[in-house]
Amino acid sequence: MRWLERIKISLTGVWSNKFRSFLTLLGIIIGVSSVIIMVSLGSGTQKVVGGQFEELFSRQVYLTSNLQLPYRQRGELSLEDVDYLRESMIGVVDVIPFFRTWRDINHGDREYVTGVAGVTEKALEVTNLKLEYGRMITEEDIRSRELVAVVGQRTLEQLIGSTDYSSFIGKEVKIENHKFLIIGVLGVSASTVSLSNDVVLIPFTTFRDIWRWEGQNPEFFLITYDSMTSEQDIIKQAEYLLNSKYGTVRGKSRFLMSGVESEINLINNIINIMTMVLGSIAAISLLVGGIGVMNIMLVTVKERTREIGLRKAIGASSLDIQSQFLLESIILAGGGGLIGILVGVSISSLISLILSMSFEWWQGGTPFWVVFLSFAVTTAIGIIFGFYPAYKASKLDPIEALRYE
Amino acid sequence: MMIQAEKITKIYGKGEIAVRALNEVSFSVKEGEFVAIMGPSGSGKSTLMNILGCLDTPTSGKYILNGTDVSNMNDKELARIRNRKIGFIFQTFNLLPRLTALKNVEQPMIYRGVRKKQREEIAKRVLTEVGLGDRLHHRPNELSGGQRQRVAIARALVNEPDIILADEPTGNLDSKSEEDILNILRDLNQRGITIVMVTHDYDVARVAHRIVHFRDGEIVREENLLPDDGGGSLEMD
Repeated sequence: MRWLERIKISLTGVWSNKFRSFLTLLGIIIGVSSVIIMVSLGSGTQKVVGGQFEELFSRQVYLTSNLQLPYRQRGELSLEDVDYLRESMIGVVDVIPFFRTWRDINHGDREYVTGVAGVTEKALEVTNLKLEYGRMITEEDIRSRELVAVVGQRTLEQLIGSTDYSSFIGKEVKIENHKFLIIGVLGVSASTVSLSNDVVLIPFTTFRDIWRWEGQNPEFFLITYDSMTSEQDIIKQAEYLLNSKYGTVRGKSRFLMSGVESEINLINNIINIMTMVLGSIAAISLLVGGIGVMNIMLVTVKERTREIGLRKAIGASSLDIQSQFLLESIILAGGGGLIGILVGVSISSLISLILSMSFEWWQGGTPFWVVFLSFAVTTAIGIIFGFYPAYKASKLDPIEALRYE
Repeated sequence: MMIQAEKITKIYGKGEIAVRALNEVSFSVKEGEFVAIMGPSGSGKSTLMNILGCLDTPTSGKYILNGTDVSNMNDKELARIRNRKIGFIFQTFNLLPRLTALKNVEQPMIYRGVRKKQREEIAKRVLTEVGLGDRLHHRPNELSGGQRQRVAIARALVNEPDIILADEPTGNLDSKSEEDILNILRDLNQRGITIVMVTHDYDVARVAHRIVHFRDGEIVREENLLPDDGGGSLEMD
């Protein structure tokens, strides 16, 4: 007997109970489409988060003193290290120092405490901060140690209590009795991960002048590197260079280095776990759908006992009968899988469309593997849950089956 | 010899509740013969039919169908024998309700592996032969009892079997349809097809050449109706 004929007979069986077959399909459809929606949204989130991270902080290593060591044993970065690292390392684009402290700031009679950062003119290139109004600190400001400040929107809000940001350009802000001219206002770029824009940026030279004691050394460096070089490469080089200059503490470096590659991986892992948890919950409904298939197949076999008897009488072997009912259940489950894929992909595209209207950075898309896996799993469900009913059908005694009322 | 059954015993169940449905029955049917099996219900005649039809296997004994020993065949081989060598006709017709007459008749050929076009041709031809050329696309519930049984006969014939086994073929029919069906069977027999028919109706059994009477799982009497064999007491028309 040819397979095409077998499939036709089974299709007739599914088709002859349209409504019942549809309800059975529905169980699988709901299961598959929810799996697909969960995974699509999960992977979309991952793309957005990962994408934003990579765009902003890719090829960037953060270097600071090793806070895991006792205070006296920690390394202190110095400004000379900027040139030392920039010139000695292979693949480095730039080494950008950041000085930082917490200070009182004043405007009129209002007071507020915030982070003050001493930076170079390149600070905006390597963080998610961006200039909204006015201008950034220039090399000239740094050279002549100007008392100028670029202030975050959030700081202005807290300090002055107004959101008319552009009007603050040219006004004064006091940081511990030093009057600074506001030359720019910072926003944050559209990003799901943001550094706080509650910050005041001033030229690092000015910073060192004012806080002579604790402000002499940069708090951290951001090392940027080219696309030919890996994060690990940079970390190893920097570690080697700093260890040879400052020595180690019982084999431990006095400095800590980290890149976002590992952080992106961590975030990806978290999203992956969430996606898997949600996907598994959805998969349970798929299991319920599978049980529905088995249930309906058992009913079908019972109902068609006489047909089974007759088919055996006119020459069907047990294998023919078994494959007929197994195919029916595969058609039900696999068909439900196909429809579920269509429904799931459509709904997740729709959700993506809606999200992308609200959030310009949203990226949708259903990963191909989940489509393929869904189809494979539903077909497997058809086989697993269809096997017992089909086996039962094949073992029916033809004589009793023919007499069955 | 078309059918040669030697000392066939069939026991249902085990131990205390075991029922001996057939007790060492020896029975044979010549090629081209028309044999009727009669007996009260529970006499073992249906059991014998199932064994002859390769739907069931005997507990002991030997069954040779047209020279082939089928007593020890496996499921697949028996299915093949049922498909190619045997045509079944049932009291309750056993047509597939959702299929047209044509499709119903095609079914045995599907299991034989005949291609669709040829299947349709043969099914049409055989349905026309049994007088249903104008009912090809009717479903069973659109046909009368007699017409349904004729579809079933067509279905039994399409694979050109050696033998037709009919289990109470007229049991569910009115007398007019009964006559039609018996005429068709007689025609088939005259064309050389061996027929074994179970019935409880003596008038129906009279169509056969020979009547085998069953009681309590054993053959109690045989009646030969063919005048030239000398044993028959009833005339044929």
